[in-house]
Amino acid sequence: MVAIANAHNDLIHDAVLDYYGKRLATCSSDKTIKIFEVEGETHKEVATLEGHDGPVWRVDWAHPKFGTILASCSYDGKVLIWKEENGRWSQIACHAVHSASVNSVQWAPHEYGALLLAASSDGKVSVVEFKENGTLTPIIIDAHNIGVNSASWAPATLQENKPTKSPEESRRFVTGGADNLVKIWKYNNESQTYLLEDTLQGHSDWVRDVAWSPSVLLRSYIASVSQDKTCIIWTQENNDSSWKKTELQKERFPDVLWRASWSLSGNILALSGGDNKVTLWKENLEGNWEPAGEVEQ
Amino acid sequence: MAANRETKDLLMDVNQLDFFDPQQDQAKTPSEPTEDVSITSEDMMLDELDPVSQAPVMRLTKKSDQPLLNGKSGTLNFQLGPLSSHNLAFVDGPNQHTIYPVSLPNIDNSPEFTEYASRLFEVYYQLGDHRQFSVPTIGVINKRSIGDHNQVVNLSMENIVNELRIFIENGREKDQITDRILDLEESLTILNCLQLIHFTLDNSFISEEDGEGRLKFIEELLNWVNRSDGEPNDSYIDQVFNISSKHVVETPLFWKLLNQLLLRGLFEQAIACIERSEILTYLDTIAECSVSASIIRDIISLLGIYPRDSSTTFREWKSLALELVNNFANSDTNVSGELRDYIEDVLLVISGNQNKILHYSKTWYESYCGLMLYYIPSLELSQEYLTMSLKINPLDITNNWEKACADIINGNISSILPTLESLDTCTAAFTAAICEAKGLLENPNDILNNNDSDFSYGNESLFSPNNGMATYLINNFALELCSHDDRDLWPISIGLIAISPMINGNSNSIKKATISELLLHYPFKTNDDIEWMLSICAEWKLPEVAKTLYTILGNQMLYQGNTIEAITNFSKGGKFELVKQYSWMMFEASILQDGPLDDQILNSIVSDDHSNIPEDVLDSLVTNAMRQTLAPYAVLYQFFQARDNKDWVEANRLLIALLSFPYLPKYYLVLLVTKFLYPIFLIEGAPKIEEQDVLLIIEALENKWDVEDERSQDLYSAVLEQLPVDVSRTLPEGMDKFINVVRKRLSFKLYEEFV
Repeated sequence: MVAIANAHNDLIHDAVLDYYGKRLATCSSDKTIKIFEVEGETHKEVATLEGHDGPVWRVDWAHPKFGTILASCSYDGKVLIWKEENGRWSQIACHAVHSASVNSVQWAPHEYGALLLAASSDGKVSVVEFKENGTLTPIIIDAHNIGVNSASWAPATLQENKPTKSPEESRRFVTGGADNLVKIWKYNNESQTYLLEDTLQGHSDWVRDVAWSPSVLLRSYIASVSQDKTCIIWTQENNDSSWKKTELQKERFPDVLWRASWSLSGNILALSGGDNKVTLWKENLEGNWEPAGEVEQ
Repeated sequence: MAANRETKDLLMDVNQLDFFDPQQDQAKTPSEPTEDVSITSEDMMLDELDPVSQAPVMRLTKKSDQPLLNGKSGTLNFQLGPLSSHNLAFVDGPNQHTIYPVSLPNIDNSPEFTEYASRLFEVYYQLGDHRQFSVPTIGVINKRSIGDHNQVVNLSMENIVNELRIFIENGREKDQITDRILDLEESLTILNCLQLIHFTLDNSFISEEDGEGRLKFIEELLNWVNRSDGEPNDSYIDQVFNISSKHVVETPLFWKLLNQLLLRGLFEQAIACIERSEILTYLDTIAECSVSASIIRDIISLLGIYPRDSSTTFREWKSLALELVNNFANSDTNVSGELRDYIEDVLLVISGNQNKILHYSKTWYESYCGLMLYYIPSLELSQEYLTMSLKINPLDITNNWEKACADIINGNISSILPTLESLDTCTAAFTAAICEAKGLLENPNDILNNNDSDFSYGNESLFSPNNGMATYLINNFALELCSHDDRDLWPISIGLIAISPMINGNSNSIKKATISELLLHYPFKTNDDIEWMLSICAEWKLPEVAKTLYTILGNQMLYQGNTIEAITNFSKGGKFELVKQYSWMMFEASILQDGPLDDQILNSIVSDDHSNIPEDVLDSLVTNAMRQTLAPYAVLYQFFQARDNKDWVEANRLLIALLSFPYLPKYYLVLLVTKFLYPIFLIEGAPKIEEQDVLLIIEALENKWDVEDERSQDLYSAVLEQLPVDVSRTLPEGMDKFINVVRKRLSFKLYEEFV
């Protein structure tokens, strides 16, 4: 793939490839989202999506079984859903339940349906189900007092070993907030909402990003990165034991860590931070995290 | 002041100088306002290792500007992508509008790698039941079966080593020497040593004592030692022979070189070295020492017949060497004491004198090789030779392979696997798997029992230590293959997950979970690809994955405008709501365009004319659900035919069938009435309608005509817009008024019938 210059007219905030790595969505402070088609080493800009009234922070592609659908979130407090049909992009839904900037947006594992998770500076997260007829049914939760910086779904787990539970009850997600906390939320059938399952304390400053490993393993991995220059890996066995905290490295990173992302199979973790370095990490057989590479500018 | 200024002018202002910096200078090419910057992921090759972690460091910008280092502010963001070659980086800062692709380090996307991985998988797959090592502990232990197992596994190891050699050769032809090739060379050296020590002399057919075994052992020994470092190199040999002040045989360098060649078993080269030195001429004519000359001739003869293939002959050969040592020691010579010592040292080396072998070795592996060649060639003494060798020449820790080879000789195979993994994950994974099959790795349960840490994995993890290191590496490699942008690697990945041995009782459910998660990421293109995916779903009983695949296919077909194929796939994917939705959409589109849709497949399905598309193809396309959901369109299609043929009785029958269809969405009633019932059958002079049919129509209107329904109103407006102005003017603007007109006309029809 070739570098894309002049992708936007203002700050770029996110760039995400779709499920097969064939389409790229980028978003920016110029309030637009751009869609590129990627084929081998080449790319082609195919659309510019306009609809937000503020900087667009994040974008996320839905699973291809739902069609070519993209969600975006913005400083304007809205989450917009876009769909491509017959080569034309259009905005098909608007989710405007937040009273402040929406900082992250993520589609749930496809097994759960077209569910969208949004985290906002108003301290709330919302889970919205996007239905075929265009209706949205939101669940809104007070998550972190000062603001939610990031939220990430847990991967879908196999139900065959626990047939007594309803599929909805296995749905979980993690949030990271300006209160320095990482929180785990789980769906509760009775109350028809997500309830706080665990509060993980370990950071001494804002949690900037949380990422739940999309791993196929039955062990849960969450990476949280913070303003305090640390990355913590939270692990849980078989989805029901207590969470174990492992600091990725004993000494602090040279600068604030902004982002964490996992590889497709969940065996590589990438961190990027204020020192303008990207570090890649891998867990070895002994359960220790070791560097697997670095990207520098 | 003037003088001062002149002096200052003579000094260089280094701050003003534009020093050459390859990275900066590349960046100075004015960036055009174009879409592409000429950097590809390939350009971002590994530059260096991080001094602390030793992790490979990749530069984001090799050829272009480095935005932040130029004093600009911003933050580097990074997002891992679904493909190892398609990760994205960008700077969140003012005037930074470029998105950089980044490849993960140590990922080989070459076709040669695909070929190599396929070959190794084939080798591993062919092992069949031999993939698992089992120690018979009860019943009659059949030595022959153990030997047979070893033979099969040894052969696999040999194949892996050969494939690695071919892979390196192909890489050399293509890329010359790169870091990647050097890593592979190190892997090969480790594998050569592994094969020598643990995969040569222990099967049913080859033993240390028999000829074939010894030949193989000696060849592999020499191959390992000599391929590892390529010493002595040509320039060193030239240097030895180009000393002009003395005759070459009078220099210690010559004898060191000769002994080095002998210790490495390079007999032909050693003889060539003796001949090139013209020592015989020197001894015969200059030194006039026939005894020494005769000894040299004997040495040459001995070296020419070093017995590689027979232990018995080796013992005889060694006796001859010892006899020569004795003869020479008891003879008077006419050469200097120094030269006599050199000749004697050569004799002592080839007769297996430990001290001389150790003395002349430059490295621990040269002495190890020398001891194996000339002292007692036995694997039982291997660790002893290593200990002796390391005392004189310690390991060179600047390369990876020396420590690994020493570990191999000491039988510590597990510790070489991380080294191999850091060099090449593919080679490491298959080597580990073969070592496990051979029983060379520690039993995972033993490791767990000895490990007193509180670290534990879930019982049902693909990477559980319960399954051992080989399974860990194999599965890790399998997952890595899925992130290559190469469909050919996917069957290997799924195959590896499927066949990797696991101790865990629930291994099948773990594998099933993994495969179900990964399979959908397969970048399918052709029908064969889809067939392959479905075959995996069938084999692993993954109906939900198959359904999701069909749904993805359905969406793709929609994107390409193939509605029928899309509906077929939605139907197979269990998305019956979508099947209904798109079937009714076609029904609606057909009414609005006032005729059958221009879709050959659809019209073949609903008609009896199968001349364009064979019936069996249609059968494969039409599911039971589609037969139901397409039924209204089929009736509509027949209605159009009857109408066009002016067969009003039939047209009327078909239209009434549609109007009274219980599952007809109410908004389509508006369409049918507005487009067909009213203009064809209710206007003045229209064909007759039977009383019973009029009553059916009235009943349908009573049940379904909903003036409040937004969709119905939209469709009514759409029909009005479609009609010619003169016709549309005759119809009322609102649905509520139109129904009155229809009712009147229907009453009139009833009256007509009555009269």
